[in-house]
Formats: sequence, structure tokens, C-alpha cells
Amino acid sequence: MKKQKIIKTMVISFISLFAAAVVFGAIVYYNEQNKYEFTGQSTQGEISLRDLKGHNVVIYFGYTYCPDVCPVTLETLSKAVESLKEYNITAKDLLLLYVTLDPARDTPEALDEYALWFYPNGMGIRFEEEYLKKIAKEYNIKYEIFPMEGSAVDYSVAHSSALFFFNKDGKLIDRITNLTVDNIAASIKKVMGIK
Amino acid sequence: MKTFIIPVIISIVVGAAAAFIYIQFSKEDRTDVSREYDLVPLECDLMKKKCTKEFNGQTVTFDMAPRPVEIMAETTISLSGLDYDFYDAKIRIFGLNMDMGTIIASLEEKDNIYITKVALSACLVEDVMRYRIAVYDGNEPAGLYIDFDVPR
Repeated sequence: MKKQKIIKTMVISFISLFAAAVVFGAIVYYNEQNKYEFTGQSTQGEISLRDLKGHNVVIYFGYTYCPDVCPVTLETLSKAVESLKEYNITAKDLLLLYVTLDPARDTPEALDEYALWFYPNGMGIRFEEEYLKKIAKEYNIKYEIFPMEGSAVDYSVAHSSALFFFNKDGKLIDRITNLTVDNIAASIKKVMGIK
Repeated sequence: MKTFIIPVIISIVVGAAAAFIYIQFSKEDRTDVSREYDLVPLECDLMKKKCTKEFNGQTVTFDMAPRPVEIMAETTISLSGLDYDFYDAKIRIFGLNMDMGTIIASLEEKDNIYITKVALSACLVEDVMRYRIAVYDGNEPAGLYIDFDVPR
């Protein structure tokens, strides 16, 4: 009788622990799969990341008054795509979403123009400020406004620089911060499943 | 049945609560870049010349090329004189007075010199940005690092 009770307690304990682990894992996995989702304004109306399923997507956070790091990053992205000609990869195969960190000044139209100037398959995305903060936390993007006294642009937005690569299923495949041509090209190959 | 269902329900609630706590604590809370940091003068300025650091009884030499380092230009960083049994040699580069995120790059060993190419891609607003290059083995810091300043 005592032995039966011990076995019963052990079985219940095991099932309880298993249930806790499954629930923990399921919630963490669900959060990881969905934390990059967003809905923002574009020139084509409201758009979500999930609307872009079927496209390989690369996301960059910048702004249209960005004088240095953003143009160079987008140019480097273009160069990386060009370096993959031998795999028949062109910019048509990778859609750039240029997300503004300066929603007070940037419009979707200005963002499109800026992105397309440097990369032939780009689209601008704008969030409202509070929502941008939430999305920046999910993507671990740092940004801060610094006043520029005596400058025509009034302020600058200091920000981190990273590229996020999503495959056609909307799954994050790579996040890179070392933005060299070779590194970006390696991520593009990864997102397109090229070994 | 009760003796079975109640503990399982409690476990499910505990598992869910633990997941929400984990998600909240694993999330970076700050999005601003400014950090309090005292920019004391550096003993050796890697922007001007090679610098050495003592590490586990070894003298490790850090070098960068080309000099001076420019933001967003490809820069080669090399470490020589380092004898370490890495399973995944990497460096991490991050700002000390401004948090602009962390650049992670793999190190390749060639003729006892560890080399990598990086693009320092930070948007500078301070007069000087102090970076730290820290050597990692996978996700573990090896305990070897060097700081350098990039003027705006």
C-alpha cells in the first residue's frame, strides 16, 4: 500500500514537471516566433511582417536624415547582393524594409525614396513613437535623439546598426551587426538556403 | 482524480508564470544609447599604433589596419602572440560611453595570428566614442580586451 502511494506520488510529480516544462517551452517558443511581428505605415497602407510572407525580407532601422551610417549600410547591402550574381540572386529576391527611428520627421513616401536611392527593392516603414519603442526593444535596437545646435537638421538620431534577415515563411534566419560585404552576402545565402 | 488534476493545473500555472517572467527579464529594457563612463586617457592608443596586453603570462599584440579607423569602412583586426585553446574564437566590439549594440565577429587563425574583418557601424554623436574589443570563446569572455577611441 505504501509502495503504491510512493509510485503514485512519483508519477504525479513527473507529469506535473513535464506539464510545467511543456507550457514554459511552448510560451517561450511562441514569443520567440512572434516577437518580430509588427504593423506599420507604408506607402501601400498598413503593412505587417506577416503580409510579406512569400518574400525574403531584410530589415534595417535608420532615418532619412541619417548622413553616414545608413547610406553606407544600404550601399553595402547592394554590393553584397551584386556579389551573389553567380547564384542568380538580384535585389528582386530580397525586399528591404527601411524602418524609421525618426517618425516625427519621416513619412512613408520619404522613406521609400531614401531606401530606393540606395537599394532597388526597398520600402519604408513608419511606426508611431510609442509603438516604435516597443518594437525597438523586441529587435534590441538602441536609438536616442541628440540636439544639434546651429545645425540645419536640428537633431540627429544616434542608433545601432544591424540587419535582420527573414525568409519567405517570415522566420528570422539571421541578425548581423558586423556589416561587411562578405558577412551580408553570407546572410543572404543563408536566408535563401544556399550552402 | 483530484489528487492528479490539482498538481498538474498548479504546474501549468507555474510553467506559464515562469515563462512570462523569463520573457520579461530576457528582454533588453533600455533603448537609449547614452552611458555614464569616465573617459580616462588610454595607456596605448590603438588608433595610432599597435598595443600589447598581458594575458595569462603572454604578451598579446592588437593591431588594426588601415589606420586611422573609419566608421563603416572595413577594418582588419589582428591579435598575435595569443596561445589559447578556443573552440569558437570571436571578438565582440561595443561602445563604453555609448551603447550602440555589439558587433560580433569570428576570428580566423593563420600562422598563429588571429584575424577578422569588421565594419564599425555606429552613428556617432559624441566627440569621442570609446570602443572595447573583447575576446570571446563562443559566448564566454576569455578575459582579454583592449579599448580604443574613435573621434567623430
